[in-house]
This record gives sequence, C-alpha cells and structure tokens, in this order.
Amino acid sequence: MRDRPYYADMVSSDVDSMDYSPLVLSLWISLVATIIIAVFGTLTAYVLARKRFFGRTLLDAFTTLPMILPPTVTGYYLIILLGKNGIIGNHIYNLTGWSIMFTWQAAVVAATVVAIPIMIKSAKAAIESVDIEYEKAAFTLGKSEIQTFFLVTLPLAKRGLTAGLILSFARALGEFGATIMVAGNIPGKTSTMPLAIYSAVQSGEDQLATMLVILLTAVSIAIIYITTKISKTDRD
Amino acid sequence: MELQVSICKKLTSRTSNEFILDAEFECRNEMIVLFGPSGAGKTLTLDCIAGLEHPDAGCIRVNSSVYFDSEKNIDISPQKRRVGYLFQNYALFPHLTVEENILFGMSSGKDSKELERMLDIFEIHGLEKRYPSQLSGGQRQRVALARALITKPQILLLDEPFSSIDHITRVRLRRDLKKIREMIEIPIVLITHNPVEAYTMADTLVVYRHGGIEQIGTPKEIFARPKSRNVARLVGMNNIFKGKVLEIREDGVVIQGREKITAPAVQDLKIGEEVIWGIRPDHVMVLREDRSIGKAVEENIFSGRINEIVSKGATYLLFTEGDLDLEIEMPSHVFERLCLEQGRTIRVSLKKSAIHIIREFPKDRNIPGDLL
Repeated sequence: MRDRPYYADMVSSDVDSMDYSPLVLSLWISLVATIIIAVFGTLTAYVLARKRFFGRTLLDAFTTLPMILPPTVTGYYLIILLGKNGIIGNHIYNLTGWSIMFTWQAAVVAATVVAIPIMIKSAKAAIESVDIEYEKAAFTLGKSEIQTFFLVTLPLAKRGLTAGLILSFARALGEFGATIMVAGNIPGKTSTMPLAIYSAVQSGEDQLATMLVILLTAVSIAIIYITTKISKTDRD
Repeated sequence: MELQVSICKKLTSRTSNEFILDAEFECRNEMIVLFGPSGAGKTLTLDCIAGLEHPDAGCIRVNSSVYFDSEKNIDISPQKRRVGYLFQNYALFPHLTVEENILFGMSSGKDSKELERMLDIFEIHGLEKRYPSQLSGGQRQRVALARALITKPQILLLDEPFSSIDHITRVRLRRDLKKIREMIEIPIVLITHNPVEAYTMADTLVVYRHGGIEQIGTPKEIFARPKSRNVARLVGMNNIFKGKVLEIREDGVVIQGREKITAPAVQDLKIGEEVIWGIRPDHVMVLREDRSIGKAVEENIFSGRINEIVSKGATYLLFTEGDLDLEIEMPSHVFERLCLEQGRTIRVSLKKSAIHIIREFPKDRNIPGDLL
C-alpha cells in the first residue's frame, strides 16, 4: 500500500473500503463535472450571447477568470469559499456538520470551476453563430423563449456545444492544481489520474507512473480525435 | 380590417449617429406597402408590429386588438400577437423538414388537414420530407408563407419578399399573394424598395425616408403627385427642376427656371414663389421632325442633344443636354421608328398635364447628400 498523504487522516476512515482506481475516479469526477458544466455553462453562455444587461462584460470577464488564473489560485479561492470556515462552507458545516473539503465532491467542484470557462467560450460562440432571425421566427410562431431555446437554438448550436463539452471534459480530466488544494490526494477517493501520476513519481514507482501516463495519453488522443471529427462534420 | 400604427423609437449605436423612427399610418385596405430606401426604418416598423422590437412610445392596433400602447402600458408579447411574419431570408429552421417547419407554430401538434391545405395552396406537395437547404429559393419562400399562414394570423408581415428571387418566382409570388388575399381577410404589410412592386402591389403606399414617413396615399397618387423631391426621385420622376412662379393664368401657371414652362394650375400659388417641378421620363414626348406640331403639344417645346442612349430591353432611356437636361424613356418600337442616335438634336414636348409642381421647401428636413 502506498504512503497516504498527510492529510488523509483528516477524513473519515472508509478510504480502503472504496479504493477506486485513479482512472475510474478521474472519469467519474470529470463526468459529473461535465454534466454540471453542460447545464450551467450553456445557460451562462446563452445569457452572455443573447441578453443585454448591466454588468454583462463583468460576468463575461468573471467567468473567464479561472481559465487565466493559476489553478492553485483558483483552488485557494475555493477554500476561502467552501472551507469549514469559508464564506459558504461555514454555513453548510454549521447546518449539517459536513464539509465538502477533501471529498470527491470537492474534486468535482474544482474540475467544474476550472473547466467551465472553456464551455462558456465555445458555447457562447456557437449560440452567437445561430442567426437570431430563427429565434424571432419561433417567437412569432408562438413559442416561448424556453421552448425556442430547446427547439431551435440548442439543435442549431449542437455541434459547437458538443465540442465545448468534450474540451471541458478533457480539461476536467487533467485538472491538478485546484483539485489538490480542495480535495487533496486521497487514494481511492480523490486521487485522480494526474494526482496519482504525481504521487507515483514522488514515491519512485516509475512503472505505475508510466502506466498511468500512457492511459491518460490514450484518453486525451481519443478526445482530440472525437473533437476533430465533430468539427469536421460541422463544416459539411 | 384595420391596422393602426403610431410609433416612436430611438436607436443609438456606438458606430453611427442615432436613428429615430417616427412612423404613423392607418390603413383600412388590405395591402399596405412600406416603400423607401434601405435603412429608412421599414423593417424596424415590422419588428415593432410583430413585438420583436419595442417602441419608446405610441400605439399599435390590429382590428380590435391592441398590440402596444405606451400610455396604457400594454405590450403584448410576440407569441400572443398572432402575427404571420415572412422574414427577408425566410428563417426556415434548417434542422427541420418542410413539414416540421410548417407545423412548428401549431400548438395542437400535427394537423394533417391544415397541412394538406397549405401544401395545396402553395403547391409544395412532395417536399414534406426535404430540408430547407434542399429547396429552391421560390420553394423556400412558399414554405415560409405556409408556415406563417397555417397559424391563422391576424396580420401578415412580408419583409422584402420580392428581392433576391428571379423573375419567374416573382410573377408566381404576385399570384400567390393574390390567392392569399382572396383566402383570408387580414391586413398585409409588405416592404419593398422597388418602385414597380410598390406600384403594382399596394392599395396604400407608405413612403419611408430616414425613419420618417414622407407620404401616404394610393400608388397612383404618389407616383403622379409626389409631395417632395425625395419621393419624386424614389418613384422615378427623374426630371426635376427649380423655378419661380412668373405668371398665374386661368388654365395654368408659367414657371421661369432655366426655361419658361407652363404647368397645370395649383391652388394658392403666389407669383414669385419658388417651386420645384418635375416630369416622369416616360411622359416626355419626342417630336417627329417630319410632322407639324399639333395643337395639343404646342406648349413646352424644347430641344436637346442626345448624350447617352441606354437600352432597357422593352424601353430605351435617352439622356439629353440642351434647354433642359432631360431623361426620356420610350418604348423600343418608337425609338427604332424615330431612328435616334447619339449626338442628334431632338425636339421634345413636355405635356402640360404631365408636369407636376412640388412645393416643399419649408418642410424639408435638412439631410446631406440630397440631389437637386
């Protein structure tokens, strides 16, 4: 058994009983993050693309920020926000006695925050490329804004949205800095692929490191392949 | 059947000067044509009627339903206005088939009977399963019309339906619109910048310019008696001259410009008043040299040298320089019989009854780039 990171003691003791492999953990965390990104990223992108309101530029800049900031900085902000004594985390802890820190859910939050700007950017571009006349036509044909979004805007922006989601998934899969800040590197629980690779190298387990690296490279190449295929059919 | 529009809307953009739409018209007839150059606010007016744009103030009413009234705080959503809107590029949903497009606005789902009826009217049977990208321009337009009409709208809005279609499709659209008018009794508002379409389609013609309305009337009225030189230019009254009233007679007025002309009498004209007068190119008569001048054309005879000849197919355009610089339009057979050629000097007669006097100076808004 590998050395546990020093903060492993701070969390509950069922670590060994649910020891998922880093790959399964990584895929699971990225998948959940991608689902959250699909909903909120698309919604934010739609608002940014179609609505004119005060503070729109600010929202645009704010949602881009995690793409620019070093992930450890983003992670630090998340600790301030969600930690046991954090702005939001404090209330959650007081109410439920539970803190999100060092759980797989924290890894999901880190992955979501770091990867969502990619989705917002490509989804915004995809929605903006849909001629607004289609939406106007749907309005005059009696469809509400929500109906129009699902019946017209979404299908027409589908390819750009899918590409954005795949790229976000890839980004979530590779997330390291923010994750280690808020979720730690608990084997079987929050030790995702990038973190496991780091641990393996640190502890001199070169074989394991190589195996994990090859695995992650294969997944990444598959993602690039799928993305190019999608954007190719986009042009047809 | 009635449409009442009285709207005011200010648009500001960072790149250009502000644009003010200030339009007011009321129509009881069926076909209302908004006519004017692009950028005059015609589409903005349609968008306001459809509820896609919101006027700053005013009111819009179709029959008894009030769509918009700033005083009563009424602004019905586009979904509830029941407007049929044919967009300039038709806005057919590219991811839906023809059938799905036509049925898009039906809340009750598939209504086969209504769909069949629409396919019949617009002769688009057999295209149901195709996508818009697989249709010709004319077919797309008819599908868009079917989609707009299947919901039984209270008013039909057509944005430049005659532009970007070929001649045969244009003839067909004219026929289809006639069919629609026989089928349903709703006001139809049509936008065009083509004077021929404006003339042939309109019951009421509304002439737009720079966000305002220059003239409202029947096409016949506007084409023969434009109120301003801008309207005159828009409707093709291309010969426009300045002059001063010299003499008022019982049967007409004499106007002195570069030349003296006699025009029909106009009420309340004062001697010495500055006026503009014009004549349509097709109303200028070229006189045959070998015949003596009849009594009817005795007045307003000028001569000029042909500077340029342009063939338009069925008609010829001549541009002359001389006493008055004129544009003359004549049927091809007349042109050929007269054996006209460039450089020749011809004599023309401006029939008194064809001359139109415009008195607009005090009211005219000062807009740069105006020609005279």
